Amino acid sequence: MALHSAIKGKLISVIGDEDTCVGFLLGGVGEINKNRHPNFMVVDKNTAVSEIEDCFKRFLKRDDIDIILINQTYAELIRHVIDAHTSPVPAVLEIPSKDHPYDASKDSILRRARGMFNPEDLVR
Amino acid sequence: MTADNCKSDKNATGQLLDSLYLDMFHLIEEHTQCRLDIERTNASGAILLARTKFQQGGQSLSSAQIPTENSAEFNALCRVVDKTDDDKTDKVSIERHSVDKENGYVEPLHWFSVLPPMSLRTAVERFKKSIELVAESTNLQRELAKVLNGIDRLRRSLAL
Amino acid sequence: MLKSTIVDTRVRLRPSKKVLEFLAKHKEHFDDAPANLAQILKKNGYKLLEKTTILKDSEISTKRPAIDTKLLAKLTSNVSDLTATEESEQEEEQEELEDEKPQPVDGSYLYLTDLHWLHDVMIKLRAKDITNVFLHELIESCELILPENEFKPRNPELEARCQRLREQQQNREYQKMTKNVDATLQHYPEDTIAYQLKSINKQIIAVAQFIFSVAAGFTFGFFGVNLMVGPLPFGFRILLGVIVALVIALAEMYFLAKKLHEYDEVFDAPKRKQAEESVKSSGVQKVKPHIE
Repeated sequence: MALHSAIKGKLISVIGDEDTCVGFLLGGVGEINKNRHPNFMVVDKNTAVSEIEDCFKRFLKRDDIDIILINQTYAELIRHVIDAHTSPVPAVLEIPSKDHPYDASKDSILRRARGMFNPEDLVR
Repeated sequence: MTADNCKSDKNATGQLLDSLYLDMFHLIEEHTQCRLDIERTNASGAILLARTKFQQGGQSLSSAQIPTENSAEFNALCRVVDKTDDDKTDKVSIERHSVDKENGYVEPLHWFSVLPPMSLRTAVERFKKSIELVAESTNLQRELAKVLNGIDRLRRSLAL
Repeated sequence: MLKSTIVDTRVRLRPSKKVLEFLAKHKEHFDDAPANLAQILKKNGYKLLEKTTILKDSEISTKRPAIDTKLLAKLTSNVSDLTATEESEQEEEQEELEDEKPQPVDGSYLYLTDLHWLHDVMIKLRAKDITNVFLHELIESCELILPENEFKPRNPELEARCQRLREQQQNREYQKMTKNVDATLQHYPEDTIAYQLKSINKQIIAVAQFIFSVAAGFTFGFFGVNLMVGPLPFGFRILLGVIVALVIALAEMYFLAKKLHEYDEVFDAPKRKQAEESVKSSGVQKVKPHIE
């Protein structure tokens, strides 16, 4: 208990493909807590969408996670869940994966920004 | 008197909304730039990982080496800490813990190989950089969310 | 077509008629204009006055505006937080509009510098009581265009090569899976004499190497040191030889273990080598210049 309270700061969690996970884990973000819950999830081509969704929701519920990194391709699969999450903590960051470059028009927050405008009469 | 008051209030709202919009554009640009930086650093890290795989055989770096639910518990080396500075915006930054086996801070490099090659070490450096960028991007995203909220509320207060 | 990284991170705004009409109406009140804006106006049939100087992008200050958070809190204190339903409605609207949006004309976008300029101008105009329009009223009717990815066609040679490699890998996986089902394949690669000879040869060479270097180490300890430093007692020479041989054996053992492990992998994927060779022979790239 004393050890636990000594730790300050929150975690970064990762949902991504093998290379993304390996990379960020090498960077030292990984943790497995006392209840044996890891803060990362490796998604491969056999992973079902519902699994990603469950994992994402689990991360949202944990109060020791401050940032959730998710590959944009997988974020696309569970877009409705991400759009529904509006509170600033934990922050959901859509990061590009190695074979899908970052697409600004898919990012939840930028889409929200675009929704602020309502073009009426466009100039051609 | 009240009409005057109302007008100045409306003026202030309008000016505030203008600067919020401009701020939003700035933040969007920075946000995108930051994501691109992450993409670039990650890509160069991924290439180095691929090189390591090529040199050491395909199974040397895979998810099989990543600890799972059944492996022993360990703590994260880097954590996000709040760094609220004087201008009242919440800022996070990354704090790194030194490797300390007794207290559960293990060196992740050692999951993959005992004698890590140079390319793997460089890859780790890249990903550490990327984590810093992630913190920066988080700050920008939160700020942007705040500005968007502000715009939204101001617009509705104008409409009232 | 392949999506590639975003190059231009600038935010763009497709101007609405309202903006342009506003600018045309008040053109006598400002005596400079950014180059981009002037071009847009010209393209859409509005003329700037002769005396208007054209500004370069670098001449316009683009500082991030300071936000008065206290004022914001005060002004919005009576507004409840945003509800989710409203937002989704907005988005639907957005998507509908997207379908019928006209093809954009190249370069007909407002950039951040233009907006800054517009902001400054409007502050001046309001101060002079010429107008009481705010920037947000103008730009809300515009369309925000986020930075877009560039599309690049994929090199067809690379595509063909990737396709071939993918097929080979899938074939290999399939064969591994069906090995114990299909009787003809059961002993396929391991049973041929050539294959066995080859693998035995490799292992024999590795083991022979090991024995040879250990023997050489012993010889050095037994004879070499004696020749260098002069006559030594026989027991000491034996001890020396054994020690040197042991050190070499240890080092060699490490490499041997590594190599034998690699052979095991070869057993797992017996056709990997062939595949690589075929790629090498056909994959000699005729280097083509990149299509820009």
